[in-house]
Amino acid sequence: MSDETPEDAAVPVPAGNGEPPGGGDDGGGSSGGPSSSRGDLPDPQGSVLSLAQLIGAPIHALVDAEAQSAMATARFIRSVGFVGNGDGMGELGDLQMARFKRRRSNADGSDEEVEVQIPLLSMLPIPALQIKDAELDYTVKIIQTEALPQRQAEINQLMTTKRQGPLGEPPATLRAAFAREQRPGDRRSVDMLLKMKLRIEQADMPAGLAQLLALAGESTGQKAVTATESEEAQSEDGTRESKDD
Amino acid sequence: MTATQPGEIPCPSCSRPLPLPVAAVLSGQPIVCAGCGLELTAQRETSREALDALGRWYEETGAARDMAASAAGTGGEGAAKKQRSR
Repeated sequence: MSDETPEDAAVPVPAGNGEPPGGGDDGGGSSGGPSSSRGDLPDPQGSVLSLAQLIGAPIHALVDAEAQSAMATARFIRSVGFVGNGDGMGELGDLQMARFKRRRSNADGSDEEVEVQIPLLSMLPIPALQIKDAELDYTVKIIQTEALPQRQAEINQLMTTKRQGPLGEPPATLRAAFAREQRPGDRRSVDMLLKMKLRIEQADMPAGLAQLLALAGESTGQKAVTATESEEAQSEDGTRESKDD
Repeated sequence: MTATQPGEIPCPSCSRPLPLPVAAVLSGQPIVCAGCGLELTAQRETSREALDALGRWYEETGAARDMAASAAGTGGEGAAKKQRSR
């Protein structure tokens, strides 16, 4: 990208836009074009940013969105899958179990009632979304090229000399702003500064989640229900129902 | 233990994957294993909290399920309700 001249990289500006580069309404309300102090790092508040920032911001947003999605999944697991969950992120509390009953025939021919405990988490699809692919279509106008600020160049030189250009000169920085896209034949200008197309899909199960579900599966248990327990449960249910009534 | 998908468990008797339809669990219908005929019935009296949580989840995701079903062209509960109201 840094090889591009301003002329190569610039996109057509709608006819009649005789404003100087970076001025006026060129997508984002440019506030006076490039930073006046050339030696400073680009001002993140302005609409004219380094090309790296312009390209990086939407990518950062994508990563941020995935992180939010992961946190939502974690909240879902915590709220649905566990009871009495602690306040801290480290404490989950006990697994929320649903209880079922079934009849089992014993070897001696007798029947008994068995309680089966199943973790609620294994009964539900756990939402875990991820961005499968993202298509970003930038329309930018290169406002200015400039050498990397001296201070940054010095830092880079201290860290590594390999990042310098082939002749040893500090790398160039492009300053750019989102620009209007002009479509041939369109009388109306279309302000499409950044087109973003995302495809979201259910993520493959993360290893940690698979492990959690495996542990939940191991918690599935069965025990024979004694006659006393069965009667107690029935009477408890009857009491609850009469209270509900 | 047999690996299963979310929404199904290994049958406690034959270990085959046994789907647990949430609607059936909530309505108290017995879940029958196609492999061995085992019948599982939710115990409302002892799993009230779990079934409440399950019910809330089912209610809150109803619209999403309907949308997914209608997008797939198979209809859904919402579509069925619309049909009934007509």
